[in-house]
Amino acid sequence: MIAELGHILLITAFVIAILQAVLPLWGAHKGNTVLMQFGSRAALLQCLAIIGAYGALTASFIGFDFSVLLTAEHSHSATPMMYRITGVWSNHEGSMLLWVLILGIYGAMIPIFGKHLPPSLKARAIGIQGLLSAGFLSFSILTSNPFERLIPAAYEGAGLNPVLQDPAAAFHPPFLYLGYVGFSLSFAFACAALLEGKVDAIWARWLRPWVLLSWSFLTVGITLGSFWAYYELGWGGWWMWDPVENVSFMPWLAGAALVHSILVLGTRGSLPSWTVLLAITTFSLSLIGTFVVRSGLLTSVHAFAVDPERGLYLLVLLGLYTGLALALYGWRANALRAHDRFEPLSRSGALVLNNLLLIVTTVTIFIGTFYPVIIKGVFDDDLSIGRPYYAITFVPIMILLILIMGVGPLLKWERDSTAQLKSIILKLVPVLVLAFALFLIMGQSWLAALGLAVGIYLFVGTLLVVWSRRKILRQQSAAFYGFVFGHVGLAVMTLAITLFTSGQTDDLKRLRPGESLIVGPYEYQLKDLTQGSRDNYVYTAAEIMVLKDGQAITPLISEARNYRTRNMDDGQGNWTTEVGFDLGAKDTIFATLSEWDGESAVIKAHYHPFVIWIWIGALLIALGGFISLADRRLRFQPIDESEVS
Amino acid sequence: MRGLIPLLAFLALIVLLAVSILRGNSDQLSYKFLNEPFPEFELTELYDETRSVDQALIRGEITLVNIFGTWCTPCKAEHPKLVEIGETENLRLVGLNWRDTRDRAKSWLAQLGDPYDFVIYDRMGELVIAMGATGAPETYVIDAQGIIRYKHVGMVTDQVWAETLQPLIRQLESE
Repeated sequence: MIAELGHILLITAFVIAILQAVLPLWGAHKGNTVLMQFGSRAALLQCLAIIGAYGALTASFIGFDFSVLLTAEHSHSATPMMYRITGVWSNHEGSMLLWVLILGIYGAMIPIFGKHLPPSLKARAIGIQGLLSAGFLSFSILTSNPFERLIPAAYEGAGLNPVLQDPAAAFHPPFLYLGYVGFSLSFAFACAALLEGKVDAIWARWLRPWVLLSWSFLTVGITLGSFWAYYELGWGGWWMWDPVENVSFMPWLAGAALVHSILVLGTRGSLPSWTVLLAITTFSLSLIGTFVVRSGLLTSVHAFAVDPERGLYLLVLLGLYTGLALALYGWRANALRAHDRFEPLSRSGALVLNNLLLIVTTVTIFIGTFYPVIIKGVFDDDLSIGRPYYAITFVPIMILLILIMGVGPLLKWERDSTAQLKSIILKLVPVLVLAFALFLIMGQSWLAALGLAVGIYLFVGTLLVVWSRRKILRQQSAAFYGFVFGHVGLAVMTLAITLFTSGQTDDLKRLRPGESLIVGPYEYQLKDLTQGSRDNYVYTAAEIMVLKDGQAITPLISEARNYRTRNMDDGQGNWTTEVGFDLGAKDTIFATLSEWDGESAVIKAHYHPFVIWIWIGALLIALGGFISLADRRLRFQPIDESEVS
Repeated sequence: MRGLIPLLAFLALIVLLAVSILRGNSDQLSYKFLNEPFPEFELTELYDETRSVDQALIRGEITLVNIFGTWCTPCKAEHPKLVEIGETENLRLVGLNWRDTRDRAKSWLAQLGDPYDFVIYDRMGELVIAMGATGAPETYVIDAQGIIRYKHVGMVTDQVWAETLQPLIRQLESE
């Protein structure tokens, strides 16, 4: 019963979404207040209906209703509670339901937090949000129904894919979606602003917290994905330039540009049409990410339920939404006027430059990701683009970007003097040069020395801003601290990436207990090979002692697990690895067990210096975004026009 | 007019993506090891735990390497075709058993037929990951020099065999 209820609620949400799309837009066009107000109620109702549908699916996962096909395929009576709940989005259908759920929730935020928005702007934004919901709900209902019944019902479920039974994997999709889908608000408000023919500080100030929130969630989501791929999939690296990684990185880059340009728009009234275009672009890149991962256009670990029909449906939605938005932009962008101009030599000028560099980076990655797809699809030619391409394109642009990031925040908003620029350069360039020389002397390669010097330069540049305001730190806004955390986070990441890339090493060898393998400054000694069973799996474990200079440092336990609950036909399951990790502040060492018999095992040992700081840096960036949200200038209250100018 | 540039660029992209997706076969897109030597590995044979196998055994003649697991339903579906190829073609066929137990794999092959010249037992997916595989089944065409010449993702159906794999193998034979 509960599955049918869920299905009905999903269809109800779709019908409401259509009304939410049509009536408020028509009302705003005709100036009809009743129709405009209807939008707010529809957005809330639609959200409640999807919450109900999502709850119904979750209930069938928790209650082991194996008459629901999805539950039978992805749950099992031995699955722990946490993975019964996260199992809902561990598959295509449930994942899309989570997508529309988050879309519905963000849509409901407009009536809840937008009480003081101009009525027509609000009605139009809600209408466009309804249009988005209608499209994706129809996708879910028509091509990816999560409530399909299994007749006859299964006695037992197949169990959740064991590589997904991991906290980082479990929470990677919701965070990623909170990011991707959050940009729907940017998109809806951009289109609404184009329809209104007006973008102003009120618009920017209402939208900015949502941009910050989405972007910070996206940062967390990508970080979790990177961490999971690193230690569970055993990719051995934190970023592989894999197409599925790239498609999540592109909206992040565009989102980073949007976070900054909307700041300029909110405080200075500049860059309206650029910001609107960025808002459309960021959400479109999120849609492209969804399309690529869900269509199976690129093969990857995410390509469950590959189906060209679904891919085509998503492509049509993408073409429709982005196409209409860009057509609207082409038609109306001229109506958006900047209230304020700034000199190129200013903080705004530096932000514009960084915006351009972020977009150039996005385009670079876009080409790297899609050029091979298009060459193959259209000309049937094979071509692959890998790490070397990104090393020669991405890295130089990032270095340039960081150089500007060091200087920009020290400049005044609207205009600054060449004397001030000279004094900043005189402070920062010696830091850069000295650090570079020092690292060269310490034996780093020139590229590593450059990476490290640039990281230190950004760190010092950010601290100089803090120093220049040392007497008025208490009066600084939350956005200021957000800036400090964000930029320090990027400095930390830059240093960590460089140290990791130049210092990492690995090796493998077949070992008998007592024998050892030396990797980097560490010796890995195999102590024991054991077997046993736990919860819902059996395991083979290698106990390894890690030594440095003859001193025992830490034991590592690497396991191979066999989950009994997958494929119950003969009681034998699939093997997954659990890597013996020692995640250290400085060195991360780990060993994997790949092949064994009673007497010996093949052990692959890795030495990864400073890798953990890459994720810490990324989380600092996200933290910066979350801190900025507390800014009192971003509170949801009527905005005093005098305060704006 | 300048405002329309983003729209035109986007429409061009959509058309290209639509063409790509409609023409299907995106197997080779992100495959980085095409025309690269078969990766080095050291594993054991499925039937004989003491017999070690490595990349040298893939060289010397044209070889099909087929990734399978008993847990993989499409593998079961494509298996009769592989058995047929094993019987009719003068070709080395190597199985790569992934994420399985030896017993289960052996009984699966005993039941469905074993077309393989030998089977690499890759319990943890060490070689599967090194090959850049994304799932099972996948079938690789390796030339006599041990270079990966083609990767097919998904089942080897009659059509895939007749239209893609067989012509490629004929071409490699004549090289």
